Amino acid sequence: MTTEKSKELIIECEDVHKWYMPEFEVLKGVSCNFYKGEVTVIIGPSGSGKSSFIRTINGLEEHQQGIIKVNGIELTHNVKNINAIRGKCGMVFQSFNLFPHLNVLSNITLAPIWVNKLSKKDAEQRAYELLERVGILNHAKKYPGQLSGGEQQRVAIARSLAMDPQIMLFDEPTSALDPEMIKEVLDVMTELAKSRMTLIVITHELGFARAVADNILFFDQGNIVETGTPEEFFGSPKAERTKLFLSQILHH
Amino acid sequence: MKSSSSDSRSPRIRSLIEDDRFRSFLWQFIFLILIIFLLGKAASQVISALKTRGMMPSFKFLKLSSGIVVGEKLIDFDSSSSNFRALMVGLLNTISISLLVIVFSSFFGLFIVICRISSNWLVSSIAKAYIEIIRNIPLLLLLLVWYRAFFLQMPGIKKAIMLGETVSNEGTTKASLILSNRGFFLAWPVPTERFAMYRFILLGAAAVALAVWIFLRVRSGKTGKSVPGFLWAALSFLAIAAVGWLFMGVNHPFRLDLPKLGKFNANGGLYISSEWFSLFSGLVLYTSAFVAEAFRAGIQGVQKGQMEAARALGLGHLRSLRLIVIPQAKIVAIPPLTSIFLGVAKNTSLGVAIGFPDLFSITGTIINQTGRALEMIIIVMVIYLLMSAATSLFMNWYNKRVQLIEH
Amino acid sequence: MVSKTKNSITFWLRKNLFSSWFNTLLTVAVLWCIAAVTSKAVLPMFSMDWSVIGYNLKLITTGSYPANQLWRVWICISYISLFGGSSFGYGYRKLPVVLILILIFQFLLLFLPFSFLSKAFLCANIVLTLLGFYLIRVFAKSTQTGIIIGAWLLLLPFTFIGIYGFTGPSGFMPKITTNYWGGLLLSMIISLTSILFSFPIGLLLAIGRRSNLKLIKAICTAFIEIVRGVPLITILFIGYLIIPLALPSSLNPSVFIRAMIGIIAFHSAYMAENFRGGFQGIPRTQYEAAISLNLSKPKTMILIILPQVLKRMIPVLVSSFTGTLKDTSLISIIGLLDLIGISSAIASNPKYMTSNSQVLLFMALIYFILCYSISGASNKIEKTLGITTKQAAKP
Repeated sequence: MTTEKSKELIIECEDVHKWYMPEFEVLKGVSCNFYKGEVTVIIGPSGSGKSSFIRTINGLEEHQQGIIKVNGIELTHNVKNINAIRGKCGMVFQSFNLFPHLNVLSNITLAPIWVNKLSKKDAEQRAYELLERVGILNHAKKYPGQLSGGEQQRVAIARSLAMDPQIMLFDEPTSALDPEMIKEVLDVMTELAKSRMTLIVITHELGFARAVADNILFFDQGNIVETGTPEEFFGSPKAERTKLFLSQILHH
Repeated sequence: MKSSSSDSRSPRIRSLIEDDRFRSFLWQFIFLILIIFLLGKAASQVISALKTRGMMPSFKFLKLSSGIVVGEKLIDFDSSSSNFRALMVGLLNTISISLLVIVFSSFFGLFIVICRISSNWLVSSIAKAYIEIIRNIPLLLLLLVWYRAFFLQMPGIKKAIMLGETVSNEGTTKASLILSNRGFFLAWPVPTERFAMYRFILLGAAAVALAVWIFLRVRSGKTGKSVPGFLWAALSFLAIAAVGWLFMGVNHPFRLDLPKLGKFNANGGLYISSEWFSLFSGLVLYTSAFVAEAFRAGIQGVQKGQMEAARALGLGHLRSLRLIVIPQAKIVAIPPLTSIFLGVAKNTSLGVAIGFPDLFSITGTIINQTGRALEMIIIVMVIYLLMSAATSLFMNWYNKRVQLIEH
Repeated sequence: MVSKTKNSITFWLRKNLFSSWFNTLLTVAVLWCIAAVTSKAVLPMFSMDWSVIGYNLKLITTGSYPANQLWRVWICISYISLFGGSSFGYGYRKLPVVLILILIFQFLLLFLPFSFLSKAFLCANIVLTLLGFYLIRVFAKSTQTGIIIGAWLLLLPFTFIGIYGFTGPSGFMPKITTNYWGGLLLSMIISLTSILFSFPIGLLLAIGRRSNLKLIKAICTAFIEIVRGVPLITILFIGYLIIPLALPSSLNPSVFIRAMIGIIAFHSAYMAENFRGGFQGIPRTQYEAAISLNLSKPKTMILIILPQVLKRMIPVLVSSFTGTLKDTSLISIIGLLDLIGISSAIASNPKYMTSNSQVLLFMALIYFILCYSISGASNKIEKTLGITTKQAAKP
């Protein structure tokens, strides 16, 4: 939220292209940088490629051309690189994706125990800390099916945080929630931003973008059309497409 | 992925091992080696074992005379015909009985499901009980019971049950229907000399039926009213055939051939052996139960609101069924029906247990006669796979046609 | 017209049998048909000579198993009774109808001409079932789960050792080779073993079929499709004729083993298809969440995907037992004396040649009772676990 003079580069993307089938190019040469401790909000119409882009950063999907570097490690077919990068990125999905056969506590401790080789005691201690941080300590032994959407998403955030990521990626985290639950999730994300975690968020919640974002990327048709601070972006959008999109979503 | 700068200090071998594309290639390579090794060992073992028995694998034996006697055949065959021909006899038997079973069990299954969802408790309970009994006993047992406990219990030729008996002057007995433990003999129309003329009438009838069908289709395309074109075409075919018949007057194109009762057997008319009929009816009884369940899943899969909406629009009960409910029922019913119909051809192989010369039965006999187990098994498996593939292709095509178009 | 009669039977009759004149006509017609069929087909059955069953009861149930070793078979059945009762006790509070029917059936069996030893064991079994049903409650729920799963997993090794034996001819449990096994015993053992092995093999095939490695996917798919596209009898023939050729002549697998391999191969392919349905029910997003947490593929499969798939597969597993039991009847065609094979053996005995129908009908009854009760159990398991897996019956 504050602009620091010494910005540390954490993610570099250079001329990233991605094709789904030979005919369909979904990312057409995306280049941008992300800095440590900053909150970047990605906005754009559906089908613009923003979701595909964020999923290429942690290797969930493959990019065919261009360079992506996370903390200096390049994302290639090298298994070690992929694992290192995934360890640094946490991801929160639109549909929460909690594991239904495990209770909340186990959802959070599973990966730390099996991947980071934490002991059960340490993992559970960390899990309780995180549950408290996202505000649902009393649901620790419940199953995902017993929780509301907002509660499930907060568990999902805690689950990703348990792996100690440096970067948190959010793919439309509140789009599947009922309106009354959106605020509780956005509050958690705001708190994360305040604690200087690097966030990249795809969302339609413009209020959140205005209040919390350091930088806004506008995606359209596979490319970044415009970037800027929230004041620049909402106040004086430069490109025609940006203006069109803003007029569509701000007036309803 | 184009990588611009790989760390030049890391050795190339290590970066290769860490490449996930290389790793998946390696796993497949190891798997391939393993499979080739195991199969190769088994194959060489089989071949050497056959060699010691003096039977190198070859398919030349197919040309040899079979020495088999077959009770049912759709094509000419006697014991001097080749083994290959014997196989063809079996294949034709299997295909013909499978197709007939599929058709008849569709109708009988429809009848059963109508009973099953009837509001009459007695009728639906009987249907339910029938389905449960069939589903819980093995097909083999059903066929054996049906064949041994029913058909073979029929009286022998001397005491055969007859319908419509007539005794001619020379003392030969003829009847419209003769039932014995050998099978059924049914009076059956046989073409006379006048048939050549009648053929033209039939051709004309077919042409008219086709015209009717095309006309109705085009018209329903234009007016939007869906008409059972096939039904009308069939009716017009029958109408013209009947008119033609009457037109020919006394010179009937067909003559009824009545079966004659002999000392040890009967002949004439249409002969349906006990084996054929028990396999056919047993399979129909068995398959219909499953078809009924598939239909039921289809009917119950259509939401209740659909019928209500159709009636609310003013469509009659039957029309609502035909235009709204049944097309949607098909969507749910076709996948299970596919596996049911695929099973029919495979189930005919059980004819071997009751002595019906289906494909598998004849395969067994050929193996017994020639000892060529490996070759025959390969041949028969390929044939069954082809039949399954053909049925699957057809059902998948039909399935695609009826599925909902969703984006 | 709903009359104010408190007699609900009349109301029920009216609604279900006589609601319209068409329905009334139908009811009368059906009743007349039932009467006709009963008098022509059912009643004569009672006048048939059923003694053939009595004389051959041991043959039907256990084949040529030596009579003085039958106690071992009974021990295995007692194992099943005890833990079968426990399994029912796990799911039900009160005695369910199904279990009561099974117990009544066992009681009725006492009236058949079994030997004294068998009758004693039958009574013991009834007691054991009830014991298992009520005693399982003593344990905590998680212990109960452990006991039941463990018991069923150990069933097959226990049964095998018990029935095959391990000592010399004069010892305590002399070895009885598989060619002495027959009848219901043989059918059950082959079915149970088939399920035990086809479950993991089918799972591996299903996983292989989903693999991204093209070669493994191709081979698994090929195996599954080929086995499903041919009749079981051809697979059995392969086992019967080709396996002896493919193995070095030092190993001489018995017909039992050959049939077993064929049945296992066959059911593995069908299991793989069942698993495929189970896997397709897991949304792709589960995999994505696991990848994002940096779980490796094997760990994802074991910790996340398989627990969910296996839970859905339990009712399928139980109901596939009935399919296996019915399919096993085909081993009679390659000469093994399972339940149906025994009927041919009995028929060849000149004393009983005319009683073939009775034997076959009795066997139909056995199959029906077994399969019907197992489907009932499977339905209850589905309801308890809250799963609805619509699986079309395999014809």
